[in-house]
Amino acid sequence: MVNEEKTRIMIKVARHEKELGEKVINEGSYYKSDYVRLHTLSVIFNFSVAYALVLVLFALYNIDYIFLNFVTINYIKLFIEIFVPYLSIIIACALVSGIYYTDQYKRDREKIKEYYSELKRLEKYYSDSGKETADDTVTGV
Amino acid sequence: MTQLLVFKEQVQKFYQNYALVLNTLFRFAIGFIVFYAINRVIGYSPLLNQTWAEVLSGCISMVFPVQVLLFLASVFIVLQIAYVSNYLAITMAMMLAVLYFMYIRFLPKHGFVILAMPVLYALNIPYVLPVLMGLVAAPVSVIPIGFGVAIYYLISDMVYVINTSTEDTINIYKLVMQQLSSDTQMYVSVFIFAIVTIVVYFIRNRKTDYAFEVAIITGSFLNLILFLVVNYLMDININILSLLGGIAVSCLLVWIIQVFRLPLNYAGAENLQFEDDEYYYYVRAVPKMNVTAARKKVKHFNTRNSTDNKELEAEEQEADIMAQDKADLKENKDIGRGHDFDFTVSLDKEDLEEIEKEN
Repeated sequence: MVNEEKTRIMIKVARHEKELGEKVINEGSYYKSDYVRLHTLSVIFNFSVAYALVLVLFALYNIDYIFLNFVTINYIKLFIEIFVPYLSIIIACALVSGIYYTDQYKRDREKIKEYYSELKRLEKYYSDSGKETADDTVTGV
Repeated sequence: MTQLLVFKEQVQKFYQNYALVLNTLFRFAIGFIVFYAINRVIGYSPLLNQTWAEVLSGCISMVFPVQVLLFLASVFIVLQIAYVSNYLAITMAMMLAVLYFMYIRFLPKHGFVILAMPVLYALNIPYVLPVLMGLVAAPVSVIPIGFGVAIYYLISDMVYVINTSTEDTINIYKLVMQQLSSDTQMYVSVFIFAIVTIVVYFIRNRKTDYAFEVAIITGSFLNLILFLVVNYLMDININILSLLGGIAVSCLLVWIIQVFRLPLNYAGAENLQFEDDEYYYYVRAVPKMNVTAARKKVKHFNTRNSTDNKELEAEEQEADIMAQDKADLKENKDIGRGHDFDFTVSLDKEDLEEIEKEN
């Protein structure tokens, strides 16, 4: 027979899973430093790709000048002019994302705390009724 | 006003009953409108500028997540431009990629605002978005609105350059960028929309009666006045009739959205699906409607002698009502967090036999 109490707990767990999303729940098990580093690396990668694309767009805009002065361009100066802004953008990104994702980690932890408490209730229900389940993922589809 | 409230409640009930179908239809409509608007502005390719393409895109956005709509719209724009200029298509694709990598990747919700702006421009109602974002979002939404305006003007400048240019070389991209950087109307629109968004946000946060309604009307008037003033001072050639019509329609649209926003947000039933060792559960969670019956309270002031007892009675009644209200409120608080659950459980033959035996 269907047990109403257990079903109610499971409904709450399923609602939390739906609300939080798989990504947040999976990342809930990360250490704070891992979480922040992973997301900061992702930001740096994305900004690097975007910066490269902006450079290409800039080069296309000045394509005539580049073709005409291909030999006379000071490439060392050009490299510094490209690399210094890139480096400063990346440092700024790393700092901002470090602060942002540390805060995000705290907020996510608070959100999934309730989810974990419901899971514990379900676990307690199983242990009380003497029906311990081997599979810990049975509550979510 | 009462009729409107009754109508609102009817709509709410209707939505609650058919939430799944209505959401699907809504997503189709959004997809269709997006691709219809793109085709109206840059419908160059005869293959894509057709109703079936718009319907097909609507169907795709009905099935797939909303992010897919964003991706498809970008691909659609690039393909339409590629029909007339490959160089412009490549540069447009690169610009959209930059926008994705630097911004939308991290704030996907802002991506929809960026996409909505050119679409609303194509429908001549861009004034909806600053007022609406002021009502429902934070002032930071001026950034996606600004990007949206820039993308619309980038596309219209592309259209202008394509129509006037005779050759398809990389110079066409330079011309587009020069045209865009000298487009005063774009800067003015970004500035005005930013002001309107912030003003609407601050008015709707005031703890006064009808703050939302006042915010909508003020925002719409501010749009009108600022565009008229800028048009007069800078001579940016705005069509006054189209401006007036657009702002009136926008004001009405935002008001309708505001009326139905909160009730419909919480009215929809939720479908959950999970399993345990024995069963598959298909749960439909329907929010309880907290409707309280109207109470009438009559006080008599004209008959002084006989009122003493009546006043006492009335006070007692009032105390009862207050106690009842408190109890209701407490109950509603409890209810507000949860849902009224309706279980659908699949049973096999053995279970049915067991139930029959028990009965």
